[in-house]
Amino acid sequence: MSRFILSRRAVLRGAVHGGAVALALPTLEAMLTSDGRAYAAGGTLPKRFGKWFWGVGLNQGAGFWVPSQTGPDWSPTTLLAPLAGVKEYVSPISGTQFKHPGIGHNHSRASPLSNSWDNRVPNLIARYGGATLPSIDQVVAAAWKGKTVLPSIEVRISKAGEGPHSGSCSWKGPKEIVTPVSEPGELFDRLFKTGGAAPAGGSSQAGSQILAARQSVIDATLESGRALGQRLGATDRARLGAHLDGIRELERQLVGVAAGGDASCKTPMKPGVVPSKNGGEDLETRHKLMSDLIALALACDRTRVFSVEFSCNQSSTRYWQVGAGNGHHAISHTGDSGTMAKIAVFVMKQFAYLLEKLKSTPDGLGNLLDSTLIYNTTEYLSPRAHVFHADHPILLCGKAGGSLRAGIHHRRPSGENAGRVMLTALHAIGLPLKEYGAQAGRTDQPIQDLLIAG
Amino acid sequence: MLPPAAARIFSFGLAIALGANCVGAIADPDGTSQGGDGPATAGRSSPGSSTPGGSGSAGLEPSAGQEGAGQPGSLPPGSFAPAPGGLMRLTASQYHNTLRDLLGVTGARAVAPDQRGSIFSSIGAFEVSTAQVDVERYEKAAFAVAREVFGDEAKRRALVGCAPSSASDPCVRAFVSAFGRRAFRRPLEPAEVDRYALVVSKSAAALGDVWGGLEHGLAALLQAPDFLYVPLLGKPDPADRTRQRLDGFELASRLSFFLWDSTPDDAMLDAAAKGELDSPAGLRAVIGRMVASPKTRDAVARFFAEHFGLDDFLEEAAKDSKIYPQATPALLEAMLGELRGILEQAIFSPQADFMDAFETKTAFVNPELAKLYGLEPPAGGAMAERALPEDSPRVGLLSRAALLALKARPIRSSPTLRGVFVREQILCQEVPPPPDDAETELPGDADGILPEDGKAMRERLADHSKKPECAACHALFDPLGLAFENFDGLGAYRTTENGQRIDPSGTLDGKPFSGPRELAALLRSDRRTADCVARQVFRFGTGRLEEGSQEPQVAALSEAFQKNRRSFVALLSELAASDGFRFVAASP
Repeated sequence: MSRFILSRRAVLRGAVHGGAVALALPTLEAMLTSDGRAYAAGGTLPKRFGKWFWGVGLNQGAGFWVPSQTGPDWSPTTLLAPLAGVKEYVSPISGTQFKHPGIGHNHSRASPLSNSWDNRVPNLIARYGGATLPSIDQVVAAAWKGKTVLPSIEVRISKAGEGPHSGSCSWKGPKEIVTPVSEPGELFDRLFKTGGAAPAGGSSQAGSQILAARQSVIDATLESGRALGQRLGATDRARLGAHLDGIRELERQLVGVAAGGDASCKTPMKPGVVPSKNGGEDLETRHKLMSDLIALALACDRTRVFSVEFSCNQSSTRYWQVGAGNGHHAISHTGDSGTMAKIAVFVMKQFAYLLEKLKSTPDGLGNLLDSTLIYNTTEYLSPRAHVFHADHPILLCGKAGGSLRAGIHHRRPSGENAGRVMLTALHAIGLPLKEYGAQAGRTDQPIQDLLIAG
Repeated sequence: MLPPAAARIFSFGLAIALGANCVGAIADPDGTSQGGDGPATAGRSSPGSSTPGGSGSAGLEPSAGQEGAGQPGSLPPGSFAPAPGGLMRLTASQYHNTLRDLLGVTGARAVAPDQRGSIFSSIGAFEVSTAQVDVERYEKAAFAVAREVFGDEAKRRALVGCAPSSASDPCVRAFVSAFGRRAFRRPLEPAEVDRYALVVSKSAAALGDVWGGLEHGLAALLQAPDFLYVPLLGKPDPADRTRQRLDGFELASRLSFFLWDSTPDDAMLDAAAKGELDSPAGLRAVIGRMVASPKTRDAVARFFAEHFGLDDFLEEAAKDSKIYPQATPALLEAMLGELRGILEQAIFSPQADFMDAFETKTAFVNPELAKLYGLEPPAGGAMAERALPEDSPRVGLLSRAALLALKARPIRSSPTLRGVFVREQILCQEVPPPPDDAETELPGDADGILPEDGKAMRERLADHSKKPECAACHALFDPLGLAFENFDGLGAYRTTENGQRIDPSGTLDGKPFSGPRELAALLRSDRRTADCVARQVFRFGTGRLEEGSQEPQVAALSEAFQKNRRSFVALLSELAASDGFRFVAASP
């Protein structure tokens, strides 16, 4: 036992101090080539991927969001007006449609987030959501695993409808749901302190003592897990294995955070619990705090993949901010399209904050939006009807390290497979999958017009 | 090829016998014969080839396997295959209740959210994996709980039971052994005592404090897989090699998380250690003591919260304030309170027949709900018991505002939602999902204003489901839902809608009813309703969606439910005492 532990520890230390785990050092200009796109010592700047999803949708005509001009000179529509300040980073992709048929709010989560949906799952067992592939953020997280302390971070802004029917907007598999966190303080703990007692920096005596004590707990947990695993069948052994992987991941984080005391990534103050406001959720404050932490996490290279679930599918979020008296989903089944429009614009204003935050955060010679790609979408153009339409609202934001044609309105033939946009996003961030999606959404054709060869 | 999930669902036979195309049920609306030739036996042996609904009258039979079944405990070996065992993660409520019972700590903590694979979180608990962030949550919670206990000198002394002078003090191992047995719900192996004593000594050395070491030892036990998961693996049964028999400690855990929604207490662990759970009489005695405990109410509340979908009630039942201005949170709370009161009475009052809940005339109301029901409001704001009039059209739990408002749209009633609820949850018949391109809107839904076309819901729904691919299924559930049309989207009684007199009459699989009162009587006396109660309890209690090979167990449980005069508590006890609960198939 002790031999195994020693070697595991040694590997961890080596990984951290040897730089295999890129930690907490913002990329400095001096380290870069003159065009700022690569390290002088070789290797390119990291790309980042984000997914930003909001529930329900528009109940508006396509003109509410689709700009009338294509190319770089598009003028912001009602929905996109809040993004005017970062327009050069926003590419609306119009015309496309998700291809998985269905009804209800299962396919409208599975399809836009994973380009898969099994419509043969009857109601009785449909509650895991019916997707057959991982959500797109988890595809990226799996591909980039090991590059950063945290493979990915997932946040949910509105807690409404957090019930079991709605699950989460991130998953690794049908029964491997990735739980989002809703309190900025919990994300902070994940990024900088990671639960339990704080290691508080490896240089301090107290910190290393606490780290040693916590590692003794981790050792026992892994040993117990190994003993239990030997008694299990293959399926349960894999389930337990995922848990134990989580423990090892946790240890990596602990050691990594303890070792990464870089001054320019100084940890901010831990945010407190976001109180309610006007008897409802303070979505604006929570989203701002989360966005700030996401920007910090990317800048410090704690992670390169993030997922924001502003509201869940079939969300019952009550947007008191725009005077809504009922939940979002309930309103979508009334004729109140005025409130639906106000909600959509409110949501897009929040999204604009994240984009602006990333744009104002230096990264290499540019900013975080230069290196990031964010896939933004919702459930339906018309949630009232519960079916997908052409002109599904999709935005690709950021320049993906120069691989994506940013800031253009790109129009596809009406009803073209929206899965192509997702595949394009994956290509842009350097994951050139040969094909992507399942069932009716499967495609092997990224949209070349959107990609910049490099 | 069907994907595994679909193959699985199609293999479990009669519970989904309404079928994919609803044809069988439509072709024979009088299909009430109790024939045993349905897809229960034909379909389950070859999942891929099963054609649900294709076998005529069997289309409406939820359970054909009940004939010849005896008491749950009396099924001979080989006559049934138990559900698989495996690794059950504590549900969120089980986790919190366990911390309460072990350590007296009660705060709500962020842990892995439950996933309801198939109605019940207990089923998800056997199936889902734990996400990275949830592993971190369990770790964080374990340290926080340990801090809470060890930060209080009186608490830590009470827990540890001795005062160690150093980490090598025998007190440390005594604590690890004693608390470890309660946390892992079984005695620790010597190697395990070593392992957790080592955590204490290493931590004590690092921190220079033996109490700090013990605190870490507690945190380690509370994040061990053996604590967070309940292994139900068993050992091969000498009498029947195809199944595994749970050992006494595993059975104690299974009983406790089922009947108490919490961890076994010391008395149960002692009973397991003494082998008392191995004999039928000993097992019955333990179960009898358990169901007499108030903790059984926690488990029952969880069952109905998930069965009826009440966890998000205030959100799910919320109404459009323009159409139902009286639908305040206080009213919705009272609705939920009434439903709980009715269930409490039907389950825990002496000699209760659970099926009475389907026809009860007792109401529990606050002033707002009394107004909705047209009853005399109680003084003050409190809930009070009231009797509904003898000729009340509102009887039983299905016509209470809680379920009526939940199974409705924000702006109107929904015979479809109500009818599907009766078919799926009350009769245990799986209704196939709507066709991919189905429109779920009725006139008026789009603008929130019901059309003044002089049509009542029955007619609008008939127009809506004219398409043959819709009509077949709508014919299954709409007539049942239309029986409740005398109750609007909030559950208030009405006799007209849109200027039309409401006709709530219909048929339940060939048996006519004039309205909700007669439908309640039909459902109450329909054996399928009681069988479905047993089936849902089986799913909840075993944490498994039954496969065809478990049908004899479900049928035997139904028989036992009848023999015990439909006592819900006896139903829980019968499942707990049954072979289906003591044995598992090899874990997947």
